Amino acid sequence: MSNPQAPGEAVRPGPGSTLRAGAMSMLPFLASAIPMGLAGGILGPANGLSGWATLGLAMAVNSGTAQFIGFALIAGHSGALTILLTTLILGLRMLIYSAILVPHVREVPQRWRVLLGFGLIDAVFFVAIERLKKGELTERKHLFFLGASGVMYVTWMLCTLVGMALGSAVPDLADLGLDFPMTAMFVAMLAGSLANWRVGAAIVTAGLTVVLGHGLPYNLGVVLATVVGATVGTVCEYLEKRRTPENSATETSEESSPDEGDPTSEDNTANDGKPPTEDKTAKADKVNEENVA
Amino acid sequence: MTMALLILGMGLCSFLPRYLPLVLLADREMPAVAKSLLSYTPPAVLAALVVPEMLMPGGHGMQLSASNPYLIGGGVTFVAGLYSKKFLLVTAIGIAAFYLSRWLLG
Repeated sequence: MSNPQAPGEAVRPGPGSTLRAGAMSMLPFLASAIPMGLAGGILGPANGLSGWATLGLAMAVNSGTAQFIGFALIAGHSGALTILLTTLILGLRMLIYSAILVPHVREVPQRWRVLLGFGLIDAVFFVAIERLKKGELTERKHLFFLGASGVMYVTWMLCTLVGMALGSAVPDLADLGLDFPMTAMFVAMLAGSLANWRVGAAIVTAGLTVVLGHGLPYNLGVVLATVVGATVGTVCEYLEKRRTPENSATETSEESSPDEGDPTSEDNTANDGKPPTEDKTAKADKVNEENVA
Repeated sequence: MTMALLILGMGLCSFLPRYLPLVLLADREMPAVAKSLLSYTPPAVLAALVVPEMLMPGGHGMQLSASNPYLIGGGVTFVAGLYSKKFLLVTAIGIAAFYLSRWLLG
């Protein structure tokens, strides 16, 4: 990650520069946010949403993943319950991020935490936690978050609008198998998350369950499959822990190292004092979610 | 109107997991089981979403055949994703495979 602000400056930075540092920290992530935002703008109307609904959905969820899956589910006439549950499930990884940030945002006032929470996306979390841990971000943390989240949010919405314009200028875009890019994106994320056999087990069982449960009403098979897959992964982890003694070295060879410097890949993201195996998978997921904020 | 409510609901479902820990959690650790369950959620939900898209595109029954571009494209994407972590590149390769097979299969 390029760091536009030299760490440990002698001069104490003012509020403006903290805000700017936050905004600048997101520049590397814009490369992936821009095409994704465009795709969202094109795919919303292609899936039968009105312009207002497309933009509104993007603005409300502030999450590429939730937005794309929302399009797919709405187009597939899923029940509201399934759509809301799936959105909730997709947001669960944010619980982890948020929990990790808690000790770092003690002094951030409550009213700012609403904004901080709303703007929390993968990219912002990665960059912020790195700086917080290194002690490069000690004052006016809320402004750093505001700068980073703000840049990503505004960029995403502008790209959504441009994508909508593109989609309406080229009306046949929808007949071109435009639902596939979304699937390809998810498959790419899925392949990226395959860090070890436990994740593999979770993926396989979730896939099996969703096929077996495709007759369930409201598309509930998706929710059921997620629960089954996550449970299987957890059980495998438990079995693994039983098998390997506490003091054994963790099998880092299994871990696929990302080739795009992930700020969290070096250190143990979770709090100390726990066996590293515990959040390896979480880290692997975070690594591959990096581009899908 | 229904759509507006749905969007608001989705916004809430997306917001709460990010926000609640910030106001509810003291310095207590999340239980290990919860952490583990959460860590396997993203791959599980992704699998649950893509498998039907690949095997039953458009919701028209099973298409476990070599003439299903969704299956070919998805398969190529997955294999590419095992070799490279460059997310956009992998996605592009998969999309190319999809359109190529679609064009070849007429």
